[in-house]
Amino acid sequence: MRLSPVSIFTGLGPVLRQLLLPLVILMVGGSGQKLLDAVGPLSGIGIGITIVIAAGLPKYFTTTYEVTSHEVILNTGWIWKRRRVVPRERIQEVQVSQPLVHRALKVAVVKLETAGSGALSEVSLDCLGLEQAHALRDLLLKRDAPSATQAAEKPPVYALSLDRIVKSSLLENRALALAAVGFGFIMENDSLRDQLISRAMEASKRVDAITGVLMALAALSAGWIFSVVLGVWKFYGFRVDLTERGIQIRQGLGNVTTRAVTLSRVQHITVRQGLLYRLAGYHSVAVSTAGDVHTKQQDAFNGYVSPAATRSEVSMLANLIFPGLRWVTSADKRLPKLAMIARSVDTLLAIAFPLAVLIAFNLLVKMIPLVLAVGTVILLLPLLFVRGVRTERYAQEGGYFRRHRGYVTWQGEAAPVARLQGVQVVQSPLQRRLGLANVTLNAPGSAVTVRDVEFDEANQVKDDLLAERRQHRGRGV
Amino acid sequence: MQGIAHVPDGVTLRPIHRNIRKVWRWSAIGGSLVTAAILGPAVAGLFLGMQKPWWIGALCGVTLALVLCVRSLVLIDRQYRAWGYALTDRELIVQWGIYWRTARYIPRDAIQHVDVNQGPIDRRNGIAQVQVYTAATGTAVVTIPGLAEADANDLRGRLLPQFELGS
Repeated sequence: MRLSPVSIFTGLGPVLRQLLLPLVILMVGGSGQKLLDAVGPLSGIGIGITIVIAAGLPKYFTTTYEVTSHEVILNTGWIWKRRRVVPRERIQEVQVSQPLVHRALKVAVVKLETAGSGALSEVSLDCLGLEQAHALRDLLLKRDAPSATQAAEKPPVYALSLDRIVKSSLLENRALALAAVGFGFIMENDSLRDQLISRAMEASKRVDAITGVLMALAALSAGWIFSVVLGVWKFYGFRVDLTERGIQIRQGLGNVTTRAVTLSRVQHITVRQGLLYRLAGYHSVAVSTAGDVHTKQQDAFNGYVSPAATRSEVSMLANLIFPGLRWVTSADKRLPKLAMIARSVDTLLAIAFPLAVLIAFNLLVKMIPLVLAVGTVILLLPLLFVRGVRTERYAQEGGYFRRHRGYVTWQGEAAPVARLQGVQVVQSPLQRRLGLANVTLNAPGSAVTVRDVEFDEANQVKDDLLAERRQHRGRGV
Repeated sequence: MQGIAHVPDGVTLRPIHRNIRKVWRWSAIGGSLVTAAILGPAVAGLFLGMQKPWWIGALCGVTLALVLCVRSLVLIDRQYRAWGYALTDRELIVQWGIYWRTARYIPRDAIQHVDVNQGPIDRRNGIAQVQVYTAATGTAVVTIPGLAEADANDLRGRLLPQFELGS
């Protein structure tokens, strides 16, 4: 079968993105105007469209796919022909997404993810008609699975209201992160920094205190508005539907993404609660399948089953994904007291070493007060970590290996033991002196590590994990 | 053999081939030449920028590379003794590391495929590396360096399930 004929035009977006930087350079350099004068604006647009169509045509005519009872076969290429065969049983996840251009043209991109690393683990069909895309997803996940339209008619198992999205975006304040990056960049650039500081000094002479405060508030509000817009753009209409083999997550205002995840393929769940989220009682819940490879960013996977869930919703979602999973039970084990020493030394070394290097290279001589302040914080940090270590718990229970810790923030993660691909016990020189070790459950797409357990206990955990894994024969991927 | 791996009763960890030390020795020397070639000019440039004699910088860079090389050469014997592997009826157990000691336990039915690799220095010394792949992310590959060629092929054969080829 061929892709939708619309695919000839959908290459426009990526081509434009690729051309943007050279165009900006040309315009800034001044030669862009000369080029424009020579060619003429209309001819320029004409040439652009011709290039896009010329680039899209071979793709349309040379890309075909075929779904057999056992495999999905994708043929691409013209000069270098490529045939990719994906066994259907290896498909971890099917994602139907609609970037903005696709949405306008009523087509979608279908991505099939399989276990493995890097781009090779992904098959992307760009683009198919919307109906065709949903039909393909249903066919690959389960022949008789309800289609997206049918699923949408049923009430979702979980939906995120607009006010929750807005509140969580206000708490996250993504603009602050951007501002921090910008601030760092300015401080690194000497001339820019001096220029800005002198301008700020001049401005401060002209502006009175009240106006200054108002301006700061306006800047903060602008940051918040930006954060809310980003949050709504990404998570608008966030809903989780239950399908026969798994869940379907739908989200987005601009790019509406519908992601179908087979529950038996979920490898790992992470629940996080930052400081501000804690005040509001929200948690973020993310899952990863084996298709979520380490070469991608966590965010790029977009594996949230909820970006802002309440405590009861976390339990409901966690149980939906890993039935019977409980975070806090009597089976929870604590870390030994020696773990506090190990963790404090680790933290001190991690911060002190780069600082020492910077001081040695005279880079911080001008900032002695800052160094002293940071030094004080460093001395205080282990106290925080010591408290955190005492709250850390881990357990192997009900077929899952889980770990959670919470002092200022809360974080929990769990993985099914049946999918275990290996167990690793690691001991650092300090841990050897203290009789401690780290033990890691390696699973596809994830790992759960418990740090600083007693060495004998680490080996016991390893034995228990391997013994339970043996009860679940087969690869389990 | 030093290490932290726990092996079942009646099973002992096997050492890797002695010739691996030669391979590591040549790799350390080759690596330090490359490091010196990069560090020497780099530190010299840094000193020039700070308006100090460039040759002191170059000397610092080359000395650093030399120190790293000597450190690697001194540790080769200990590194060799730290390596060990065992194949039980259920798991492949591999351990390594002098300071940070690691023991990895891989269920045999989690193994996806096995590669046997031989670089030019390996080939000269009659050894090969066995790479064991699982579906785990980040730790998908376990490489056992320096097995005698016959041992490497034997291990590969034993790690993979045996299939009868149909006629």
